[in-house]
This record gives sequence, structure tokens and C-alpha cells, in this order.
Amino acid sequence: MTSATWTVEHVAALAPTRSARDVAESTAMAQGWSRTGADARAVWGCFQGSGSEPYDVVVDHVELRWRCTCPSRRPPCKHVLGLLLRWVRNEVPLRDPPARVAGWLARRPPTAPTAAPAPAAAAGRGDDRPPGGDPSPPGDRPGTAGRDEQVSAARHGLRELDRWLEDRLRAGLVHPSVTHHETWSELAARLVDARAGALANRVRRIAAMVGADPRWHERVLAEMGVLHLLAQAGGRLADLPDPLADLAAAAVGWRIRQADVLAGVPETATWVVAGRSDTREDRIEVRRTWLVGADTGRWAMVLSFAAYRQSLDETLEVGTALDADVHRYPGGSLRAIVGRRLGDVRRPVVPPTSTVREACEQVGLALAVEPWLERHPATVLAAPALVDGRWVLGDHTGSLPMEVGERALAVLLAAGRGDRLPITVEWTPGGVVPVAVHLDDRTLDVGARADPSFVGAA
Amino acid sequence: MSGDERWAALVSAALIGTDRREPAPPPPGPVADVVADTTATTSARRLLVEVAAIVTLRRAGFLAGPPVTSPDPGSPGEADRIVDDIADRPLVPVHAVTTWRRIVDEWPVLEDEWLLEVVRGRWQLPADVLVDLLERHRGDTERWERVARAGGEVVPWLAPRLPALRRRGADRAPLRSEADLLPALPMPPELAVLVDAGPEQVVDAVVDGCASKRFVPPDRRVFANLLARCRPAALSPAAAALRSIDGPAQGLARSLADLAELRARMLEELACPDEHPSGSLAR
Repeated sequence: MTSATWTVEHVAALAPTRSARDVAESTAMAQGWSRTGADARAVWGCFQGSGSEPYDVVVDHVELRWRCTCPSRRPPCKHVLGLLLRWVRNEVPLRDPPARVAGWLARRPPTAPTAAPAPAAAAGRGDDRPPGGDPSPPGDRPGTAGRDEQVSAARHGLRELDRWLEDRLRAGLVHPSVTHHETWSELAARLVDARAGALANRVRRIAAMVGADPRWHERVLAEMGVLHLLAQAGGRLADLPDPLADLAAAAVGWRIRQADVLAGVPETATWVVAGRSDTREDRIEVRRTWLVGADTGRWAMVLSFAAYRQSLDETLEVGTALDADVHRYPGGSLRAIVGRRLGDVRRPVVPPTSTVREACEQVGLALAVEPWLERHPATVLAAPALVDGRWVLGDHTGSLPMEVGERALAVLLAAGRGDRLPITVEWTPGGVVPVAVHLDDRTLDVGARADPSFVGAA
Repeated sequence: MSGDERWAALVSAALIGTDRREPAPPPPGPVADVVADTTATTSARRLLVEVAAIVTLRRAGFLAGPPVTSPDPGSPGEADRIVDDIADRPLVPVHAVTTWRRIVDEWPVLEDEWLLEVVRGRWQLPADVLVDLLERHRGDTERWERVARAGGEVVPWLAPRLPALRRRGADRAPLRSEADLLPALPMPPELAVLVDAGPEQVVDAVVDGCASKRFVPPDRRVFANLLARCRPAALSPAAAALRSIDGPAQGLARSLADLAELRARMLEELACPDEHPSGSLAR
């Protein structure tokens, strides 16, 4: 397909409405276009709109796919249509595609050649999906209705977050503003206002890292990279496969009703309560309880929240097993809700264990899907050891640096007396945190515990 | 340039700020492709993209450190593991641990006897209880020593390495016999003579004292001391009698009944097991 084959009518056929066609015409004639080019496969360019960054537009005119970084939710947007109009009017020079365009095309290999759209039909797809298969809209999947609308409402906040991150790197992390609590708390407040509450919590956690140890700047920089990743993912949900879009939306702040989660198909299995840890986030105590399928080895995380003098969920006792329905949040998330409980609780039960190397592979796979994960569980058969002045958890296949308090370390050492034990840990970017030691007749719960003066009795 | 070197360069650039120094472009590779694939027009934005890409790669592809085959000298992981007779003993039962936690919360007067019963019954302290006891009694030489005896050889190994468990005032080495004995508790002479008395005398004294109002709630502690040191055979009868008391002394009586029942349960739970299967249940 070339510009000689395409006509203005073909481009007009892509426009969802008549007014969109008119706006596209205006965009095509505007002065904001730069770095345009075209070849036998694609046409590309940048359009300087009202934002600080120009919108990057790429159209695969053979496979009829496109990408634009503008915030429009109406595919194809006016920039795609405007660029195509310029192309069919020979206002775009022929040239070799730049690296970003070549990379985008390389990740979307061509299928069978397709004709340009009939003027009467708009058949384009503004995403990565190959022709012939329309994805079910988010609303068709239980519990996912409203995802894009909710995250769309946070779009302004995501753009502001990206600008804030960029400003910090321009000025440098040594700038005094980085160490001021207000710098971070104001950003968190704006994210809350933009309905990106999950991101706001993440910002507060990063703020707590500032000055916490001699290498805080490395940790903060890494987390700033993750924030940027989430800001970008949240702004491009339509470009992502549904499961990843669900996970990204949740990480940004998509709130899903529990009833919607419970309406989904559960995983019915024997679940071992492998570990627990409590953390304080702002004025809320958060409990993470880790479940693992006794036969499947699949992990799930149950969250419980408590404000001042409220109670955390105490019904899942570490070291027990129960047959139950577990309902996952959209996207195959770690987060889940326990539904029907079938039969009696059994104790003590030791979760399935893995070697250190196997645990690294499991965690790595999870992080490849969700790079923004802050914790992931594993149960390893290992022993603590002091290596080069740092405590690690190790076995014959490898070792993992630990982030461990004195009490938990003492319990590990006293329980093991030099031998390996089944130990459930939470992977974190700073190291693994032991949360439970599994003995033959009991489980030692060594995870961080909520301040009893803050939470009420169950 | 290795990955670690590039990361260090990015950290330096981020510290200084891109307004002051332009970071070098990324070396050819997948990360450079990601950076090139963006529309980032500023150095700061390109730095942000590169950081995000590198962090994603490093976390998804993290590898375990070297295997642990030669633990730190002096650690329990050495070839000569901690071997003492305690390692072969059965762990204090779960319900006895629950009782200990209740003792700590409600009736700490019973804790010394609980520990001595653990030693006498040849039990092994579970790791979490041992650690909590060592930390709890850091400031009490005698009690810390008692815990150390119950904990075995792992204690002298643990304590020097973990400051929170070290005994304060370690220069005063207690006489061994102090740690072996149940400390005496203060009580008036008329109650002290009842420590070795039979159950009926103890019951009569306690019940009469509560019912006649001769002893009042401020005297709760001395009654508690008596029940914490009287013969075990007196505990159940005393508890039953105390629970039957009505009137103004009912609160005091019920509280003392709880203590008596708790001590009776403690002693029953920590009674010597008939046999210790060799090498089993040690962990």
C-alpha cells in the first residue's frame, strides 16, 4: 500500500464521526508537524500539541495499525488521521524509518496483505492486536467495567507525575527539595486528588527511603523509574493486552469492588497459609497474608486493612491449610479474596518448598509480568549464613541477601541451629524478608506485626 | 561498559542533575532501543526512561548469589553444628507456649516457675520463645541465666552476635545455684507458713481472707504470691472455692481463681514426658 493507493476518502472512512474528519483536516494543515517520513510500510511524525512533549504518531498503513501518544481516547485520533491526510497529499517525504519506528514495526510483524479500508467502513485498530480478532471490551470481563474510565480520570495526575519526576532529575537528587517531606507529600496529595491512590501510596513509601541508608539515592532512583513506568502504562492502557492493562490499572489506582471479584470464577484448591506481614501506610495498617496452592504452587495475596482501633483479619492463621475458593483480581493478579471455605482448617502444614535458584526464577517470572511489584513470596529450604558481613539465606543452589530485623534473624538461627529449614520469605527490591519458619509441629510467624496500640483486638 | 557501571553512571547523573551534566547516551543494546523508541526530548526524560528499563531488566532477571557451602566460621552452619542434649529434646508443646504468653501478659509471677519446669521437664524452648525470653530478661541477670540454661548452647552463640539479646551487666556472673532455685516471693508471715501446708489449710486461709474482708483488693499481690508458691495439690481446690465466693470480694476471688487454674494448667502441661523419642520432634 502506498500513498498512491490510499485516497482522502479512505482516510475519511477511518474517522469515527464527521466532526472527527473536520478536526483531522485542521490537524493536517497545522504547523506543529515535524520529523515526518514514510516508507512502504509506515508513515510517522511528531505533532507539537499543547503539552510539553510532542505527540509521537506512527501508522502502519499496510496492517492498518497505529500508535499515538496523545491522551485521546477516540481511536483513531486526529493526529493519526491528520498525518494520513498529509501522506496521501504527498506532504510527507520518503525516508528510512528512525529507530523508534523500526522497533515498533519489528514488534508487530506483518500478516497477510490487507487492502485499504473501503470508504464506507472503518476497520482500523489502534493497538497491537492482529487483524481478525477484536478483544472483548473490558466491560465484558467480570469486574472490569469502568477500568479505562477510572484510569482515564487519573490521566492528568499521571502526566503531572511524569513532569515531577523529570524535574527532580533535572535538578538532581542532591537538591535540598528531595529531602523535604513536603516535596513528596504534595505530590502524593495531587495523585490522590487525581484518583491515583495506589500511586500516592507508592510515592509515600519512596519518600520514606530518602535518607534511610547511605545508598538511599540508588533505591529512590530505581523507584522513580518504576513510577515512570506506571505513569506511562496508565496512560496507554488501550495499547496493552488486557491482563497487563488490568494489572497496570490496579497499580495506578483502579478500584474494583469486592463483589465483582467474588463474581468471577474461583480457583478451588487446598491453600496453605504460608506467611503474613503487616505494614503501616499513612494512617492505615495493611496486612498481607500469603497463600500458596498445596498442589499447584500458585501464590495469592489476601489484603486486610485497619484504621486506628479497627481490627485486622485474623481468620487466616499462618501454618494452616484450608480448602477454599480463591478469587483473583483482574489480570491474574497476586491479589485475591478468599471466598467459600470448605471443610476444616488443618495444622500444622508446611508449604511446598523450592531451592533458592527456583525461587529466583519464580520471582523473576512474576516481575517480568509486573515489573512494579514490591513484594513477592517464596518458600525456600535454606539456612541463614553470614557472608561478607551480610546475612543471606542460602542453600546449595544459591543465596539471597536478607532484609531482616534482629528478632526474626535470631529466631531463624535458633530454630535452624545450622540446618536448613522451610522458610517463607517476601522478595523485596532490598532483599528477602523472612515471614515464617515452618517446623514439623508448628509454624513460627516472624513477619512484621501491627502495633497493638494502633489496631484493635479482633 | 558493564551493567553495574552503567547503573552507577546513571545514579551519578541523577544525583548531579541533567541541567548540570548531560548523561552519556546508553551503550548499544535493548535498553538503548527502548530509549530511542520514546519521544523523550529532554535529557532528564531519557534518563528516566533508561532507569525504568534497567530496573525492569535487573529485577526480572535477578540471579541468586553464590551457594552457601562454607558458612561464616563460628556460625551454627559449620561442620560442627551446635550439638547439645537440648537439640534432641521435644519442643515445649504449643499449648504450653500459649500458656506462657498468657503468664507474661496476666501473671508474670509464674514465669520463673514456668522456666524451671521447662528445664526440669527436659523440654526444648521453641526458637521464638527463646528469643523473646532472652530479650525480655536482658536486664535481669538471674532470669537471663535461667533462660540460657533452658536454651542450651545456641544461646552463647546467639547473644554476642545479636545486641538485642545480650545480657546487660554481664560482669556479674551469678552463682549457678541462684538460677536453679525458684525465688522466694514476699508475703506476710501468716501466709508464708502456708506455702508448705496442705490443700485444706491453704483453701481455708484464702477463702476466709476474702470472705471476711480481712484481706482486701490491695492484698491481691500477697495472695497471688501464696498461690504461686503453694503446693500444686492446693491449686484446684483453692480455685473451686474462690469461684464460689460472692459479695464484695468476688472480683478479687475470681482473679485469684484464674491464677490458681493457670498455674495448675502450667504444671500439668510441662510435666516430664514419659519418653523422648531420640532425634524426633527436636525441631
